[in-house]
Amino acid sequence: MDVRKVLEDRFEASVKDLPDIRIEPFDAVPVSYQNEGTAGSIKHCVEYIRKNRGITYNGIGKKGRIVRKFLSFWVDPMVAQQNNIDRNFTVALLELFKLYRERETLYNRINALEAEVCRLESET
Amino acid sequence: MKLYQVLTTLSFGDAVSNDALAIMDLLNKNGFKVNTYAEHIDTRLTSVDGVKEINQLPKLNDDDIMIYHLSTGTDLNRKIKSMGGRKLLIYHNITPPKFFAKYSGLTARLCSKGRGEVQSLKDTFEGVLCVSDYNREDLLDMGYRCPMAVRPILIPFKDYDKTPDQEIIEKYSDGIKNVVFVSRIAPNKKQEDLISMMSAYKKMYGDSIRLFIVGNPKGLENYDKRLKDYAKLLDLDNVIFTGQVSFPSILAYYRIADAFVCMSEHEGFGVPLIEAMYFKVPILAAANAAVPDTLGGSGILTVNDDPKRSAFLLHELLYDEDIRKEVIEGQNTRLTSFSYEKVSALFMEQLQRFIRGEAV
Repeated sequence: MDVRKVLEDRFEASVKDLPDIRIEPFDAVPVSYQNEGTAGSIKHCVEYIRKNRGITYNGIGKKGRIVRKFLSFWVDPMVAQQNNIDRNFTVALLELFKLYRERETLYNRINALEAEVCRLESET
Repeated sequence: MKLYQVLTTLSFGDAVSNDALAIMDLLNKNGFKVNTYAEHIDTRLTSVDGVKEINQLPKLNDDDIMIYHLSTGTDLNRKIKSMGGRKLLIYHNITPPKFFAKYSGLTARLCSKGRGEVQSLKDTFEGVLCVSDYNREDLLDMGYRCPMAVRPILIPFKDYDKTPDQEIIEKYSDGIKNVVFVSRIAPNKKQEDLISMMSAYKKMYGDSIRLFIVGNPKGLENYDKRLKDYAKLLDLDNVIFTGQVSFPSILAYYRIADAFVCMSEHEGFGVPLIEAMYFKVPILAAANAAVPDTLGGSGILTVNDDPKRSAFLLHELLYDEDIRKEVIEGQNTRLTSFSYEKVSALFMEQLQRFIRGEAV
């Protein structure tokens, strides 16, 4: 017998007799960011920037490569779409990436970004 | 000509690592002297004969062959481009990052990076073996045009005949029907849909069954916590989270299972489905990704967003003996496609063709 069809037919025949049930959606449960989550990721990002800024003042080229490498690992529009914080953060990082050749602007942006990250962290 | 097998991580008990170890064993039995090189090696595997750190990988000659397993984002994916030798990819798929964005930035980034790397490697391999047709389609979508073939994961089934944990078997052989899902705790596995199905079941038929969610939550603890909170919200005290368990414990959960339910939205192959078949446990699974391919017409299919339907199908599967018998017979037939002998013979044929420079 085609067991899948048998069960499908049984379900269709029984569905009107089954109780009308409502189940709370999974979205009703908030996500805890105590572990890695978005806030954890942002924290990781800040630490990365701080660490690398400390060791790469010698040349903007090297700095740029590090930022580029970091961004290639971090930024993904699909990931960003999932969460407003990530999207804002991603936009900020993409701007940073475009500006990486301009030394002063870059450092100013990193400072601004860090401030923004701290704000976001305090909100999450 | 020498053969080398390379992958980024050799873990204990995961499907990709088990496949790599089974292939190494098979090749050595067939007269090749093959080592497996990895960047990260579980301490329980460092003493396995033939397992070596990646930095011990010698420079490959032009006629040497590298079998490369790809399943995640790693710098190794870029490095192998510049390594010598002919390259054969075994593609296990990479979970789309969207599943992890809420829970783990690190995992999301690794998946995102990995999918980008898979795309950038499209002209690197002379041949590809995909563990499912779904994975082959994935590579076609990413622009792969080299010869590709499907080769299921190689499973040494004799491992499943080892002694199961007797304590678990005794504890849960109490007449209550046991529903089991085995896999790591991960958002693409959609364990929340198992919980909503259990809630629907309770409202339709009472709570005379229990669900075991067997799997390691490492790295996704906030998803694990959310699942537990969800079970609490739905007032379910018959959902048991086992956490990470030993291999004998996994065997025991399969032995006590009256049904195996899988709600995964993304599976590149789905080894636990094959394990359920082996233990003659009837399967109810959401028809996503490689799952229908792996089931090959056996088992019962459902959908993620209709817990009432899933609960109904589960009830029939648990209590209608004729249905159970039919489903298990179908699964037994399907299981023969994944026998060690069949898959190892297929792999050796594909590899010999690759060695001769023919399409896999």
